[in-house]
Amino acid sequence: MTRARGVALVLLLGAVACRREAAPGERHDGSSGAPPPARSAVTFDEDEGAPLGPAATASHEERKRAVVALLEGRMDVDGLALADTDADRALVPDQYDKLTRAVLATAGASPQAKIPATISTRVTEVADADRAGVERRLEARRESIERCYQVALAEVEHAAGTIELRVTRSPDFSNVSPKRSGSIPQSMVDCVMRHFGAANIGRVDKGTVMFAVRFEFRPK
Amino acid sequence: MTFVAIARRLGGVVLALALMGSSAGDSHACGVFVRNAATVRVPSLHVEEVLVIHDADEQRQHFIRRVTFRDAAEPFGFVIPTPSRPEVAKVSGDPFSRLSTRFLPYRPPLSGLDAASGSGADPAKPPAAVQVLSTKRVGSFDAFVIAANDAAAMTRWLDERKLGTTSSTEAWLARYVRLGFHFVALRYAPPQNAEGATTRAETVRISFSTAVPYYPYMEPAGAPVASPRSLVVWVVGDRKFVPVALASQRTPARWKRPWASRQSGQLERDDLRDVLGAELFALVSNRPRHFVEVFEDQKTRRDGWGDVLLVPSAPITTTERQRKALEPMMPLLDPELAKP
Repeated sequence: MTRARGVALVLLLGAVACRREAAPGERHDGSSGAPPPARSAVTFDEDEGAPLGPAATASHEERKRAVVALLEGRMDVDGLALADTDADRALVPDQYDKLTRAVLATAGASPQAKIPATISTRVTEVADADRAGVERRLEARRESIERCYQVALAEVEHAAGTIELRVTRSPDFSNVSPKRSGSIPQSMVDCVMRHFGAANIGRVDKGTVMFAVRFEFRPK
Repeated sequence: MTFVAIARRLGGVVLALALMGSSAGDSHACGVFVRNAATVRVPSLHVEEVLVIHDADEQRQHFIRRVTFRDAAEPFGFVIPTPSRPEVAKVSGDPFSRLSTRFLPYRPPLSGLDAASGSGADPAKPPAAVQVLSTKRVGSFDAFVIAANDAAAMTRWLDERKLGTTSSTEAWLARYVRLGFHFVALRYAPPQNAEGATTRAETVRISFSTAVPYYPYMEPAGAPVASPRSLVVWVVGDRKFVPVALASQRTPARWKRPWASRQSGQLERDDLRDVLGAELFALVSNRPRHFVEVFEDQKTRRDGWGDVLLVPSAPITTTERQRKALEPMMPLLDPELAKP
């Protein structure tokens, strides 16, 4: 693929922070034949690159295309903000368990705890990127990664191993390459990728940044 | 979700219509209305359980909700908006216990109670702008399927049937009327000796056509805080979904994920039959495996949150016809699209 064609494809995908993987039987470019929404139709998080919502300045048609992209799974929906206590009086992770335990006390049942597990994270390479910033972004995704692992443990008993992500980003090109080892299922790699898509690693105005990170997962 | 509860602390319910006398009308934000709130103990629903079964091929959704209430000595009701004409039915058995056993540590505190089903509810004669498409006895509820093209007329219709409304209820209804939604009104009348009655639970299925799984989540403005409160939604579908809603607490409004993802996985048909039971299993598509996801929400109030759409977590291919079918749902994520 020529650089020009490559850039064109990236621009097409990047217009809506498209996902990188497609489900079996689905097109890998993430398109449905519909024209992609103009980037101006959606506002994006300046730092994280995640879609935020419809842009007030967009035309009716642009807004419509943006919503279609959202409804067809062509946006980085995992990058959407999760309701949280501070912002929205929403989810308090422990509250569920507290409430559940209270309910269970009534029902005479006992709750099932999370599967104890250890996740270690190591930034193995950094080029033209701020290591502290990379680590901060990793930390911001810790909870999501933990959830991915809990799901994997439910699917594959004693799932353990590593996932290595190599992330490259420039103003017009983004890429995340995953590599897994051990008994980590592919579904977990997909889950981690969703939370760690290139669209979520921050904006790069010029040059190219690269970093690599290695997660190691093991049940206790 | 789209339950509108008519009773005062019916947490998690969108709009409650109380059946109380027209003189009563102690209305509360949650859409709950009771005749004399100071002396009446109204239903409480701090734990909501919903199963959404979506068939992408048929573009059909089955919304199964266990309604749990206690101290239901007063009549109350719910209004549930749906994007297309719904079918209402009682669900026998208790799918939620099996679901929670399989997918969550959570067990609801109640077991479902069998309730008589039947028909013969009073088929009211609606004003021209409100059509009662069907009435049916569903467990302990009279279920009215309603189409309306005038919110004021719909409000009058509810009032005439002693289903009290308030200004926030009317505004809430008006939004769905503008979008061309249908409504299911469920009206509960307590037995004569219901004072201090024990807690009851009944499961109702509302099925309707929709291109994208839909959860009527929006509540009338100013709904009371219900704390603690827990909503658990099981979603059975042909793919994985991410719940998305428009959050308008601040300007500009933002798309957000209103619920936390608790678990997800795939089940073979045999496993799914075991979990759902034969009655609900008959509603799922013929695919060999189905995704089952569990979402959870503890918001004590839903001010500023719109309805929830479950969008695919990975890109899907749609035809022009399927894309057209998405259009009625688009204003839920961008209200500007409701304008011509």
